[in-house]
Amino acid sequence: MHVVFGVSSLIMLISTVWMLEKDHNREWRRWQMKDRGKERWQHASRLAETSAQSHAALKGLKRQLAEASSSRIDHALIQQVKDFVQAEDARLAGQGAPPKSAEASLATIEKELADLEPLADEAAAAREAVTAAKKSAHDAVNTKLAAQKDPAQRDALPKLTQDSKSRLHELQQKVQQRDKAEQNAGRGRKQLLAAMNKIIGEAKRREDAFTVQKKFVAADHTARVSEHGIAVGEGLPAEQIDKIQVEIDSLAQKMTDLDDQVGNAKDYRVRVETVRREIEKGTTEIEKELAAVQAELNRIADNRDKNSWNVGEWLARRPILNALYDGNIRIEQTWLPDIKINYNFSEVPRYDRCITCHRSIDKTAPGSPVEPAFPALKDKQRQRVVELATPSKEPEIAVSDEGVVQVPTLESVYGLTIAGSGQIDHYAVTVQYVTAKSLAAAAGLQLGDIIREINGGRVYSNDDVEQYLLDNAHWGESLKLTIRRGLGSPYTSHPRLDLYVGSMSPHKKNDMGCTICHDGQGSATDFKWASHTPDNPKEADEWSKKHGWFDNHHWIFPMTPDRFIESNCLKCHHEVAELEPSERFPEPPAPKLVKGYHLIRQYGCFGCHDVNGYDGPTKRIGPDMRLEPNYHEVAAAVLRDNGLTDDERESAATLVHSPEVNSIRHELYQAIRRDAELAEAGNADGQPRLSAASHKLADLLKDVETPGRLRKAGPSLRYIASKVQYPWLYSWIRKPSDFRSSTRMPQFFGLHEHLEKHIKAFPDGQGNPAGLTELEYTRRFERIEILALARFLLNNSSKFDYLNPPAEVTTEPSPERGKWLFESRGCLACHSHREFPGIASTQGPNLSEVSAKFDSESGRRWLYSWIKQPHRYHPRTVMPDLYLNPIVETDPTGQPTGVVTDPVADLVAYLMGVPSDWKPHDVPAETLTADEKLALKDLAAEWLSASFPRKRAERYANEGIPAAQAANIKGDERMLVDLNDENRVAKQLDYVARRSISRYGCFGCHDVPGQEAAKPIGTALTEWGRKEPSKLAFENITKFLSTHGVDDVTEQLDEQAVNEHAGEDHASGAHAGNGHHGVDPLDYDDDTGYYLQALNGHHRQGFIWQKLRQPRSYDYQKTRNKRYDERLRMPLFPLDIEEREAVITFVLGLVNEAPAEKFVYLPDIRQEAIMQGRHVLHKYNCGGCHVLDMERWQFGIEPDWFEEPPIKPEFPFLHSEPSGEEIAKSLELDHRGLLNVTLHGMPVMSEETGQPNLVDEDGVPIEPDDDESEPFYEFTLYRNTVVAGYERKVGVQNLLIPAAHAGGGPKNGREFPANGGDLARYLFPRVIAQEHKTNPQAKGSEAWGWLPPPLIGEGKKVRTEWLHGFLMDPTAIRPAVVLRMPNFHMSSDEASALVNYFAAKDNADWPYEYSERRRDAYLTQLDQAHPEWMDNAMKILTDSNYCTKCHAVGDFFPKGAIKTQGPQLANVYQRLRPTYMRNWTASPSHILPYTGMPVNIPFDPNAPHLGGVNQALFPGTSVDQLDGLVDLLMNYDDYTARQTTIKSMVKESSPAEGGEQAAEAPEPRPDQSASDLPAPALR
Amino acid sequence: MHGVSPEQFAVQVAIFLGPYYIALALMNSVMAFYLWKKPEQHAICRFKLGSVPLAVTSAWVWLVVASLYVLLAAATVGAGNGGNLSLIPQFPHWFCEFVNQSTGPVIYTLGTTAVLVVLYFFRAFFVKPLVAWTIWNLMFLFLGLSMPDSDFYAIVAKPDNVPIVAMVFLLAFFNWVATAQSVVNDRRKEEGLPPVEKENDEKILVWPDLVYTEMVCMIALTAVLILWAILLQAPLEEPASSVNTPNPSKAPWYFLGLQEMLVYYDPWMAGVVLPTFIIVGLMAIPYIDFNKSGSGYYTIKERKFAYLIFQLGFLELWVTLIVLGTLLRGPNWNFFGPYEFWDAHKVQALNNVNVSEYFWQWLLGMSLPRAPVGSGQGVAVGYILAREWLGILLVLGYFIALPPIMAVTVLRGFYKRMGFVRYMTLAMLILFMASLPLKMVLRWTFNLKYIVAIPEYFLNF
Repeated sequence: MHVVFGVSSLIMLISTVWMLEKDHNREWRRWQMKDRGKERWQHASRLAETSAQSHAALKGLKRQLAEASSSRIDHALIQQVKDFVQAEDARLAGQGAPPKSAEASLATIEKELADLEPLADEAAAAREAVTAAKKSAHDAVNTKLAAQKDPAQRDALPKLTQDSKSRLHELQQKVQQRDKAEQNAGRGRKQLLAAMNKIIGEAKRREDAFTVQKKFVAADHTARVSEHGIAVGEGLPAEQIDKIQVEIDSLAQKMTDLDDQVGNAKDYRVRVETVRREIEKGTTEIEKELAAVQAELNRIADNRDKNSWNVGEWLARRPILNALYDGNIRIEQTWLPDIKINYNFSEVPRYDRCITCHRSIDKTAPGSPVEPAFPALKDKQRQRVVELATPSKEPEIAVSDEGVVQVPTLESVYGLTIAGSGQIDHYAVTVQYVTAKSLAAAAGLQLGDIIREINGGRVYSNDDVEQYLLDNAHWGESLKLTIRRGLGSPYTSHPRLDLYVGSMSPHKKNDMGCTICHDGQGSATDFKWASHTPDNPKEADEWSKKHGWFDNHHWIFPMTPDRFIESNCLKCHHEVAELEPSERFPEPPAPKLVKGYHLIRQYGCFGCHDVNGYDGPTKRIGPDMRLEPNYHEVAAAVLRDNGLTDDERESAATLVHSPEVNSIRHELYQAIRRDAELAEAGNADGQPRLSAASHKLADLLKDVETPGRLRKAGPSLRYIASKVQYPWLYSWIRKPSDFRSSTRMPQFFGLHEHLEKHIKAFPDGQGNPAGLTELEYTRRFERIEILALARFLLNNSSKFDYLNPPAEVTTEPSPERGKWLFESRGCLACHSHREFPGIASTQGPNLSEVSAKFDSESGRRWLYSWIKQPHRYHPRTVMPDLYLNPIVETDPTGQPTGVVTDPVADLVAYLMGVPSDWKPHDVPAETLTADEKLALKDLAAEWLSASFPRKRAERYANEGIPAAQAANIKGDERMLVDLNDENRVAKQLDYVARRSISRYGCFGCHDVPGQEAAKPIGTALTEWGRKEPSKLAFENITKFLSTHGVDDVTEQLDEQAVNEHAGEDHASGAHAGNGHHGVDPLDYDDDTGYYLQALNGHHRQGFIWQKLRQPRSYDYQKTRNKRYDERLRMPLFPLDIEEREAVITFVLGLVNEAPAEKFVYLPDIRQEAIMQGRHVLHKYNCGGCHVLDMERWQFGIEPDWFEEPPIKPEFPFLHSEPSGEEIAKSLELDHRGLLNVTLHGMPVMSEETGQPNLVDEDGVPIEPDDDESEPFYEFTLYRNTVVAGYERKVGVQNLLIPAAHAGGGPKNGREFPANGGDLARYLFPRVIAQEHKTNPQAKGSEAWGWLPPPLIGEGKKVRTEWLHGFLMDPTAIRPAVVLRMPNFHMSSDEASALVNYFAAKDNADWPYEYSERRRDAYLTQLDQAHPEWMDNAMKILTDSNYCTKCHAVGDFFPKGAIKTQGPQLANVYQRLRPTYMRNWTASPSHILPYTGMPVNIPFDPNAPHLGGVNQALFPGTSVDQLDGLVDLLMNYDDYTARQTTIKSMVKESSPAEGGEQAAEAPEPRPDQSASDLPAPALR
Repeated sequence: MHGVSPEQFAVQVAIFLGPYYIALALMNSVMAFYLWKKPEQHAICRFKLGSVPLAVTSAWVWLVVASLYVLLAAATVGAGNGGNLSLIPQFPHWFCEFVNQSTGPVIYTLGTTAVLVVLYFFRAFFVKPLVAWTIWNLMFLFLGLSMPDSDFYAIVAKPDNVPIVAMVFLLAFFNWVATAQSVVNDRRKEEGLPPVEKENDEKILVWPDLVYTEMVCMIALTAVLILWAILLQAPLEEPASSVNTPNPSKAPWYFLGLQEMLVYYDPWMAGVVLPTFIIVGLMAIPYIDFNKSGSGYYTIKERKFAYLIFQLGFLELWVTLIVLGTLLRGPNWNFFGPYEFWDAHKVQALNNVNVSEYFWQWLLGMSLPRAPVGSGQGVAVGYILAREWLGILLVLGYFIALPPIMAVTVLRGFYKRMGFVRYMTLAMLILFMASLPLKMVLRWTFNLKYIVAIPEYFLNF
């Protein structure tokens, strides 16, 4: 029993110790210790680097100090001291005080001074001797070395060796002698100074003695004064008082004397001290420098020591002791009381302990607030090869100052130092530091790089590196170093510290934590329990091996894998638009998510899938993507009703085009409701006018709580028969990508990858007498469905009134003209076409093949009408009205030639003239064959069996539903009532088509007649990102994938392919073994592998991926037990791999987990305006033509690159002076030693190619084949920027910027592309070429002015009200422009959103802007002060040299080429803001660098009247002239109104008629009447 | 095997099975060593190797078995190291399929009953050390060969279920100890000898002998608990959610027998009445038991009734149901074979019919009596009674008529010796106990749902 006891006790002990060990040594400790090691390594390396850098400095300083402290002392200084001492002695003697003589000290000083001189000289000589000896030693050593290598000199070697030895020895001796001499001299100096200090000390003692005496006397004095006061108060006798007074006086006298003494003594001391300081001046400064260098080194050393091992911490880290103090190893956490996590029954504050291991997550690089200290590089980027050049010849051996021979080292040759140990892995060969401007620095090696291979040879230790780089190097040949850069997780910093974690970011670590964005188990401190999620199966494999990672199904918020990390932005950023790149964050914050959002908008996923962003009327829960209420469709449907009154008809017609007008909608609703009530009430109150269908529709006109905002993605099908023919429509429905591969219309039919060729649809004999296979069965029905759909749409189409060419057109349409129109009138901003390969917009469809689509007379006419007035056909289209009015051709003089062309007809001619070899194929005839009829009946029966028993459904399909039953039947089945031989096929087709439309949800994207009330058919996606995977039907998907392979099957119609797939039995299926495990993700690339793993693990990421790829594949082996209408119906969208992932990213972000309100992104009013504006900009593709944001170039550049900008005189109001802070910031150097520059603007483009011009250093264009010259870009600034200490202004000078060697953009930096303006850039070289045809002299640089203008500074430029009106109904402004702003028929809200956007973006006032210049008070004042102000201004305006040279004013039009003409000036007061107008007129190129507008009123501070135009026109300074011009233009309407009189036009009314009215009319206010203005000059 | 590739799984399983087989080899080596050292040895056969006479004893056999285990371990580790799942020694696929196909609640329950019956009747054979050791080894081997099946592994290796697996082995061991001693004692009784326990009837002191032993037990138990806590950490599952309950939802392992009853009985019966009777019955044992023999020693023959009732209640109706509930009941409380994937989408046909429906609809071809709409409560109750009269009669008959019948037939002796009250208590307890297997059989044979079905008052039986 004792043995048992012993053994069990032992086991108990072991298990207890084991438990303690397990509990204590948890994973995070290891990570944290390693991270401390990394910190220590970093500091040690920096210390080594800094001390190496300061080593030379330290050495030099010490040498200087030795020199300085052994140098001579100026005799004159000592003489001064002597003089001071003597003078003081004399002064003291004069006072009778025995002078405490400084004789002894003076004697010492003199003696030392005399001694010092020879000593100092000796030291100087010794120094020179050292220099000489060093040179000779150096030569001797190197001669010896040379001899060692030269066999010819072998004989001389012993002698040389001896020689070099003795020389070195000699040098060492000389150094010793020098040191000794310097010491001696230094000692002498020290003694001299000590003697001087004695003198100072004595003086100080005397000063102090007097001060103390004075203190006593002063105290007595105060006491006596108080005694005197008391005596007076008590009324003591006068003599007593006087006596006290006498004492006081005497004390006061004493104090004065003592003051004098103190002052004298102090003067004396200070004088001597000054001399001493003068003597020591040389040494103190050096000492100060030394101390500064040393302090920096100490600081780094302190940091290193903080992370180093020490006994106290080590002890504290032991178990149990650890409870008392944690030894600086502890669990770190962020407590987030307001960001809760949902544990189903309660919301719990988060505790994010991620930073326990990710300790460096918020560390920034030294000197930058946002750059990560430890960049997180992807694995591929970490591995790199650098080329290290070697010196051209073998490096020489150096001899140090101390006479020590220095063998070449890695540091001396390459500037490379290898650390004693690695940062994380102790044995990694790691670069400790690299000396600046060394070979290693040139190769790009950095601190912390791990050297793995050199020239292919594996490196295992530091010695290996020396072996390769020094001993075995071939001098002059470069070496290839394979290195690994950067650290792995968790030692890295967050890659976007500007956005996250950092103290300057909007998502600060302590406010947001980690798991709100990343998900995962924040409380965990073990790798596996934190629910890290790998981004691909290889990573998963690696993790499970390294960290014991596993897929923890129990944590419902696993970390978001890297590829979907942007999903979680949606929790707070519901509008998405704010996630686009912005001024503050030019690097796109969430590109994948934004892409997904736009894809969903474009493809119209929301037509079927509800994405509701609201929970209740105001509470936001996520992005809101819902269809707008389809008021316009309802209105269009109601319009068909013949019973409408004229008023109602007009209301409905208005609603069709402007459904946002609520008042009209309410009216129409009320009218229909009233009529419906009549119908309900029976015949008593009169007959209803409208049909029952219209009554039903009325409810759809009701108000909707928080209505959706998105238009349907597809065109209206209401008039489709007027547009296309049956064969095209059939093949389009069958497979849209067949006609247009880039279409967004998805494919509904022919998706048969899941069907088996060899499996019978039903067992033989059970409804399948023909023995059809599943594939044949499906094809048979789909053929009928497509046919029925096509026929239904054509039959239900309304009549469309085509537009006809206007009568005034005189010429035939010309495809050539049409081609140029197509190119230049803006079509390419939204559409692409194969004949114009340089530009490919995806806003509208690709028009390359339209000739095949509209290959009929009606099609051609439709195209004409559509181009001319798109909204006529489809009121909700985003295709604008391009104002393609007939063009009256003119000759060069501007006279009409009599030729009038019709641009629309030209465009049609061009589009229809581009040949297309596309033809509809395999289209069944519109009339059905007997077989098809049978199939149609079967299909109808199939549909009917959803509502009736199978047998009865068969009968009804064939014979129709008996009339007796009709009353009980609702829905589409009503079509089948009253079937007879004549209408059987038609009715069956109609029924099938209606069922198919309902089933496939065509109305989600299209306006389908009769489906106005239909609701979206798909699953709501509002919370899909958290959808319970057990609620997803994965069905037989793994089996499907293992038998069909994982390749994208795009060619669905190809029978061969389907059959092959079905027949194959892949080996991958067999090796799975267990049936529920299909394909091995590790066999595929990272992306596919990830999704396959997600599918295997039944994660929603995998489900949606496969759903988007092969939407019907979840029906694999399922269709046999489903009815035809129960089959899956999700269509296939033509998404590529990246697009698919973007869509998935967005959908996964729909989680309905909006955190507390303060975390949800709440924009301020400007940001809100910008966001809302962006939605409209995207919707109408404004960026297709206009540049919305200029390019942004961010780069580092040598500090002396930019020259000082030229100084030009400018108007005082244009003058700006950068603040000192801005200048200082622009001069800061980063850690690369470069200036950081951010410029907004664009490079100068070539007039031939439209590509940025590459020039050499002198601005001469570089030939394309020139590889020699260093390339540069000329950069045109569009925003004033402080660069290198000076403000660079727009329009003054282009900047020359070194170009990156690969691709575009600046060297040492990157370019952020412009937002928008594709068409402008595309057209730039083309309009120049076009113009050169007629006018070879045209200046290409002005061509930007003929194109859609960049909308930079638009908010500051135009008045809000004008812009709003302009957007609703654009007018032509600039005659020079080749295309016109089209009319988008946007709603007033949308126009407002755009107006606000521009104003908000430029920080301008909105919605109103106040301008004083138009106020009457201002004008009155002006007229009083300068009666002729406006008239004079008018003189400038009308002078043919100035404005009217180019601008039209009122009814005046300038002559000359249209390309040189400017906008009409008579109405600019409506358009422009006054400040802008003034600045523009003063210096146009400051605003638009390319403008052709000259400076008309120049400013010159030195000229009379400050420059300006002729005084005869406008007397005054140039500033006055400018002001006058602006005042005139801003009040042009008022001014011209005063030129005419209305009074004369109004006939005097007879008193009988007008008397009463006249009496009631208000008194005209004086300021309202021009005649009452006090300025006769205006007449 | 979600998220784990076959290669990873092979490694995982080999990490367990390698040491497992080594441990089994050691176990058998120790056995061989023990037998070899034992003074009296029975040679299985003798032969001469050259001139050396050799006797093959059972020690040899177990040494061979041990080396077989070593071979298994080597094969497992080798295959696991290469990540090759199919090379790890395991039951052939067809065997697993066969087991899956051929098992079900009926087979399982009847099978275990049959096994227990066989074990009881041939206990003298099974308790022989050699036989028991062989069975013991086979049990381990079965576990080892089943492990490479990922589905089996997923169920057995789940930290929650490990104690159940251990329990099976422990039960086997303790049952063997008790039965073996009983067999010895019963034989000695026949030979007129006192039980073994009486023979070694030496008195020992509480202090230190008993307390010391208890302390050793305490230490060993604590050590086991600590090791268990270190090696098999309690799984932390997702936060509870009312909209998403775990599937299958399982009670704690010791209640899984009760949960299994829920399949056959209404919650009030399976969750309230039957557990109450179990507790009451256990408390009543000392008062019911009149058999004085068997006190202080193991015996079966002298306490056949008590033994059988206990084994039926404990092994059959408690332990086997726990094993069933833990290892073989999967999502939706469906039965899954030991090598079957727990697919939540598996659906089993469960169409059960009440006695009343059998009577009215099948036998009489009428619809069930239903109270007219708007009739009072009394009328409604009357209709219910009319509907369920046969079931009520059967139940009443079972509980009221059977005890007297038993008293005059099979349990006549009991009734005589126990008196009315004690006898009726015993009879009631036995009838309640028997109601479970009876109901199970009825369910399996007639798809019988409830004998009395009054859902209107949540009263089903």
